Amino acid sequence: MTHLTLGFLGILALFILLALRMPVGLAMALVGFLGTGLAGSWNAAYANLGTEPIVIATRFELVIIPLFVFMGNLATVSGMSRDLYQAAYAWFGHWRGGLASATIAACACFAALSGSSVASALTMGRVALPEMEKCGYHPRLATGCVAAGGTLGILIPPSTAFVIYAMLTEESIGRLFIAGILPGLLLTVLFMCTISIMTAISPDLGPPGERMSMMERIRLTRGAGAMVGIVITTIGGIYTGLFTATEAAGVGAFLSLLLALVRRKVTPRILLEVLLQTGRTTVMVFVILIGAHLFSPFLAITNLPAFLVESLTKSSLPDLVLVALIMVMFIVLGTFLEGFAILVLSLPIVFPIMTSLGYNPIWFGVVMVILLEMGMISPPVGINVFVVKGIAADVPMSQIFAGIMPFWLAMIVCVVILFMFPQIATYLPNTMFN
Amino acid sequence: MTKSLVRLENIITGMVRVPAIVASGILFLLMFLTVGGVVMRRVLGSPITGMQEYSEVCQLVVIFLFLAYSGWTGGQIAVELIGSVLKGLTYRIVCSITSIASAGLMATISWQTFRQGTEVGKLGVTFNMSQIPHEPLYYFAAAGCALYAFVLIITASRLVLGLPEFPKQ
Repeated sequence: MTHLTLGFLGILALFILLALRMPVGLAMALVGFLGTGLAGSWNAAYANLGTEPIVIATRFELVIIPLFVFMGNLATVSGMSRDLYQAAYAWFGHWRGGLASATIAACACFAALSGSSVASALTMGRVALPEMEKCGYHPRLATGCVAAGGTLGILIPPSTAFVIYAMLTEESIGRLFIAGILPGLLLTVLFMCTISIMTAISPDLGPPGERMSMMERIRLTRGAGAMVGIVITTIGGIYTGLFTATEAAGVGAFLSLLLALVRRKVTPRILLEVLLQTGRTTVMVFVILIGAHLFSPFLAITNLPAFLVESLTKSSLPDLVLVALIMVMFIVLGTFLEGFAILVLSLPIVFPIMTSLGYNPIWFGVVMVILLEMGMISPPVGINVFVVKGIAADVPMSQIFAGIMPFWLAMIVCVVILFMFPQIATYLPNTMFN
Repeated sequence: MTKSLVRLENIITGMVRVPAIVASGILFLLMFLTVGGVVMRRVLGSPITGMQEYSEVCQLVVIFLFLAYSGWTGGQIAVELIGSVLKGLTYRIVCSITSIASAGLMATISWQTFRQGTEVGKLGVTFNMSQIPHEPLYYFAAAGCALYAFVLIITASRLVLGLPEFPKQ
């Protein structure tokens, strides 16, 4: 059996193990271990098992994961989401569909404190869905905007997906974080435009709320000022080079803790629960990363990525068609695989193809995260949809998916815009380091 | 039978929760260490020697102390595909087989990490600045993986017995 055949069989075995409900990280580690043993040597396979977990667990750049997750969890328990929502409502509430737009704006702000889409959808959903229901919003729009708005969590920094992407492609975490800002804002605006279009076509979907006075708006915005301060300190610190992304995570977590303490939202018991939740999420990410690092040597031995790059780049397909096919593949994978799984499974193969075609790795990271976001709201396993369903139990799934569809199309528009104007993703990181 | 199962469940919950609580403390410390590092370097102009290495050690300890807790509380991502095809006993048996395979993998990782630890110990490898020896870290990781392997075996048994995969927390 050639190494290449073994490579293909390894991929097949991996999908079978995933389908059999083996945890993603462990499935990759198992296939990587057995594959390396069969294609290379068992000594190498055993040595990888004994060293890779330690190597990954002691990578300083990855300290960013527990610290940013801690910061996001603190933001969740300290009631920051409500303040953000009220501030956004003060400015957008009087628009038609204004509550939904306020939800999107608050999701974007919350995303700057949390690196998780699920956390964003859950936190904002708990605040926004009852409000929208009270104001007579159609459940289709209400649930759709929460699920879609939540996905901003992994595009606007800090983002766990960017950290994983950076680790697998050896790109800078700081540059990727900064690259996510403008596309994140673009997507926020596109989501708001989507709401405007939806409510212009069917005004019953989201009736306008009361217009607030300027004084009231300023008062409510001031309430969210502390959070904005934390965001500016962390992201601004990375951008200006005041501290590294890892240090920014520590500072952000510390400031969030201070804020939560000042607001008397944290008791020792709550703090322990937040820390336990943080540890649980951190380990989940690390197990996936360790699995990916055990799987990569196997792929390298089989030469599968190089073979695919060569075959695709030598094919008569125009580059654009090739890239479009890769994008479609991500969208299809997103319908049944979890976002992180797609990232670690596909990157070792897709990344060399994209770079060989001359695409900027930072730009591709941003596009890939948007495609993952689309997977998070695609049927049948879109995780954010289940989160929203958990909050709005009486809304049928079909209605939630129908509400999500326009936002899903807005994401396609965002990807197309990023293709036409890649500078949207690359401008800020270039000014940051040049 | 049910009583002994409940007792066993409580024992395991304690076994994974205590290390997780210790890890929580270390995680908290890691945050202060990072902030302290920034303050010392940026404000006082006197960087903490080996700060990066202390952070790395803290991170390793946090991960391997939390590993079994994460497994016991269903913290790992798995793709839910067979749930819609297989039902009842067949589903539980398939899931328990993958759990046992995962346990086998974790046990092998534990064994290999321990073996590497002894090798590293013989060579006397330490961190450059802080001089922390690597050897205990390998043993620590091996212990964390072994505990996770044990949790996976218990999870497989729970599935075969028709109990929920993860106990109520």
